[in-house]
Amino acid sequence: MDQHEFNRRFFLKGLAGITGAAMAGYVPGLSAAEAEELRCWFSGIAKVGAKDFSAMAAHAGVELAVTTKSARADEAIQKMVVGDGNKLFDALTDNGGGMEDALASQKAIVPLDVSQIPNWNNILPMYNEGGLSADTVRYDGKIYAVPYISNADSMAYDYKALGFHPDSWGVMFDSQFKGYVALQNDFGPTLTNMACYLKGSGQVEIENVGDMKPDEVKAVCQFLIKYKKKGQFRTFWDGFQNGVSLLASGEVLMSSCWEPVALVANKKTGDKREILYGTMKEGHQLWNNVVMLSKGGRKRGADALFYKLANVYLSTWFGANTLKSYGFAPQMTGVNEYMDANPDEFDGNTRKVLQQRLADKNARYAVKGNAWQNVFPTHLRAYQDWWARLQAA
Amino acid sequence: MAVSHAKHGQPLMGGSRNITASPDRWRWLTGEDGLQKWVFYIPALFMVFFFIIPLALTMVWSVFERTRFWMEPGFTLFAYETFFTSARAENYLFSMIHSAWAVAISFVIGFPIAVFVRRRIPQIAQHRVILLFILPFMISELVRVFALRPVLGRHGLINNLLIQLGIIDEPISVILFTPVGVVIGDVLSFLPFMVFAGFLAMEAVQKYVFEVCDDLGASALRTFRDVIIPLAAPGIFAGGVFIFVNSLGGALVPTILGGPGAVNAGMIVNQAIVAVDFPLAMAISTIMIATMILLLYIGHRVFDLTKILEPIQ
Amino acid sequence: MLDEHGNVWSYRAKWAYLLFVVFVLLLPVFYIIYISFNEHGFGAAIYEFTVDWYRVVLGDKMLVASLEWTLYLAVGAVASAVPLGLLAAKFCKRSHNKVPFVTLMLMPLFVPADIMGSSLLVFFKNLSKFFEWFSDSLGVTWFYGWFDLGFLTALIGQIIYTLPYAFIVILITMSRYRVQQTEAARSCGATGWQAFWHVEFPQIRAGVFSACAFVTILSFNEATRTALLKGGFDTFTNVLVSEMLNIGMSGESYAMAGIMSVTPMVVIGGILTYTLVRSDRLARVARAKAEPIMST
Repeated sequence: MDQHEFNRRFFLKGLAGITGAAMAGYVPGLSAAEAEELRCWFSGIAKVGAKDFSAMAAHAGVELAVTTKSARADEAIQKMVVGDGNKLFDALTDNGGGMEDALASQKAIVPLDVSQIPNWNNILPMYNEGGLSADTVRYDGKIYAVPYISNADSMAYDYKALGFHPDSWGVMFDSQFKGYVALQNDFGPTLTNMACYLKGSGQVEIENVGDMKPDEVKAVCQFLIKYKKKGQFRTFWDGFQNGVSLLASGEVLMSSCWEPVALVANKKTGDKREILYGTMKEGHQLWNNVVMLSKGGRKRGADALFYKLANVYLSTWFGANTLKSYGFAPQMTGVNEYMDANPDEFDGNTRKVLQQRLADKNARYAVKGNAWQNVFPTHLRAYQDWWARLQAA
Repeated sequence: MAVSHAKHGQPLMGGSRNITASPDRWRWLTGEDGLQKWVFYIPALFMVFFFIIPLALTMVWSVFERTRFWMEPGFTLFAYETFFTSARAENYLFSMIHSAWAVAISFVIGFPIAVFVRRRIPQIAQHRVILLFILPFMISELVRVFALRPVLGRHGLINNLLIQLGIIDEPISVILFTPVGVVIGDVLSFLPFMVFAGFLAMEAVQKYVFEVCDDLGASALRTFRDVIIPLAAPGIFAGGVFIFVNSLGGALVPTILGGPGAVNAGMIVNQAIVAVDFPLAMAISTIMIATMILLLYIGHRVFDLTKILEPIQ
Repeated sequence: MLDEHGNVWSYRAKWAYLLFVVFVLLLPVFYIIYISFNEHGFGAAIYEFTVDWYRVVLGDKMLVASLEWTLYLAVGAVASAVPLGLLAAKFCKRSHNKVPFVTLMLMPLFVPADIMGSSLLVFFKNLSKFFEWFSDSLGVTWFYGWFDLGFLTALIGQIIYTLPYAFIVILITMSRYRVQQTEAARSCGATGWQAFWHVEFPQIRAGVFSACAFVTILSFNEATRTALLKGGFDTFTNVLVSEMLNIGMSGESYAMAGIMSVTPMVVIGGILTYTLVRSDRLARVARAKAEPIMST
């Protein structure tokens, strides 16, 4: 059954609601014992292999009914905690390192039994207890989320225009590039990256880049305000297409952005420009995206289906393909071996490119000054307020 | 149309409200004193139930205390204090100024078109011509505004044209990623509202009015200023309001065409919500409503807004 | 040209200005259609003409389904908001103290989309709970699920959004209607409904249709409230927003947008051309009848 059929049911349900039919609240075909399909609220980047989720469904052996989701932090909270999202969705994706804590604390999602996910044994070591990213999938010691992509946010640049490979965030503040620099319009990633730079270059004392204190936030923002007033930044961008268009059109020469933005921008420019993704010596913001099971999903008996899908997300097929199509980092070991074993999917050239990409990622991960994304820092208000001041400056 | 209803034994003339063609048994439904009277209250009831009550909720929330991911009942003006002390108030005021510019420019560009269509184009074709202005809306605003980037950018259509014509040497960067870019985006997005509203209002202006003005020897400017504008005031007011609120509350244009940190009221609210600071978002919304009431009050005092909504005599 | 005292060149100049403004407004639309024929999509340096995107777009189930939902919502919004706006406008005309009512009707304009969506979200949840409690106390399941997130909730959000526009548009059109005509009709024996339908409506018909067009357009373009209040479906605008934010708008989306704009362009352009040609011919015929010798 495809999305279309799924939608019809909800339309009829809505109509029935208007007319007050007795069984209106109950979608026929689903019982508490076991669900037939998994109702997903997923971002568009949670799929590989096809334009829609059909390849994912085929690999998992699960019927998927997917509704799109944006990346906004509040959307999940609003729908799942405040609204009736638990009635609508069995599974959802969002940022690890914050959202799973928020949703779990508000009892919108449920803990997982990873023994039901065979591929969990191949997960990257950093997700195991005590690992670097163990907290990003756990709340209160229990596992609540399955990671499917992660990455280190860095700077994209036009190599043809610059003539060199920047290795420091400081290049963005060089006066010769005034008006040709863009930053991400999101206080989380931007302030974290800038904090990595200021701490790494010794300009500001910061204890924990991932969770700054108010006066540390103030120092970072005042630095940015100084350069904003000088006209250093062309704009702050938001939205994938926006980011791509800035780089591809040559409107800016450098931009802090996600890796897929750089990859797609490079594809679009042909020979005019060469957009590459750098490795910054002061550090990067690390983040991941996770998939979670909702409380409503468990009530409806969607566990088995969820675990099957989660298993695909941790499979080397998914990892290799997400590396190829979007450029995100796979969450499991064994990706290189998978690529070698599937030459028809990954020809020699592609394999070389992807292996280099993976190697670059590992280089970024290895930088000492990295910091994990924190969706809800302790002093969130300070981040917000200083960001507003930066905007007003 | 049935006009005589002698079968009820009532006189034909007399203007009695009880003359009705409907049989007695349906009178409770369709008669003037029946349910029909209450039908007119439906819009107000709908608004009260689905708008005022949720909105009252909004105002109550704006004084709640914020917790990490939601909020808890309480009373604090902290959200309002934050708004006024953290530069958000400045952002809000600046965005109002930009919106006002968008309204003014839209009026200058769009209203003459409405006058022209009403005056010079054959009656039968007028509405169809106005339909031309609906065409841009068939595509989502998101896609339309985004398409302005390759036009206004440094390597975009306008700059390339100007450089090719030799008018400028270096690309001009002021038309994009600046308040100018935002105003341009707002005008292009919402200009049709002004044309529609102006046209609808111009329907109140009869053809003979123009002829009378000509005969009396009034100049075009005088006709415009003293006759057309007062008569078309409802439409101008409506168009102005539409553009002002859309420009103030729509986060789309500043996001795509605005410079570093460009915000408007809608974006400030957006950002507060994204940071899960609901009391602050609700506080900004309450302030926006207060702004509206203030503006309407000032407008009422200066222009007497009820006159605007009164039928033209 | 109707005004014999006018200047031909001034008339032509004004027409040119009108067409120029329409052209500038449509530039983004033309550009999107241009992009929809590009193999490499938006923002690419290379342009390779292809009709492939159009070929696959109607087979793209997700896009077609989302378009269907957009249409359902638009039809629902028009069917609800326009009659409500009409009733509200009539109510406004009757009442003596107009200002409070008008303020009430205009207020939704000033509430940002996010806020409206958020408050309605909570409101619906509480309403659902109340209805469930009410149902239980009556011992029936009749009231269950009325305000679950779904089509109805999204529709209500859209009505709140579009009703002020419909209201104002109809109110403006009504401002030139003389109430004495209704009184005259009533005193001739017509019912309220007959007086409205046969006397008043033909005169405000243009305004009502404008309101319909307005509401349709607003509904098509609305994304935020719908995103928050809808159930397990997507509208076309939701798809566009999600793509724009996460993965970039696909070639199919541009093709769909192209179809959505070319169709009305062709229809409206055709109607307009036909109307102008016909009116010109009618004017000439009328002049010929009036002054047989001078008219040619």
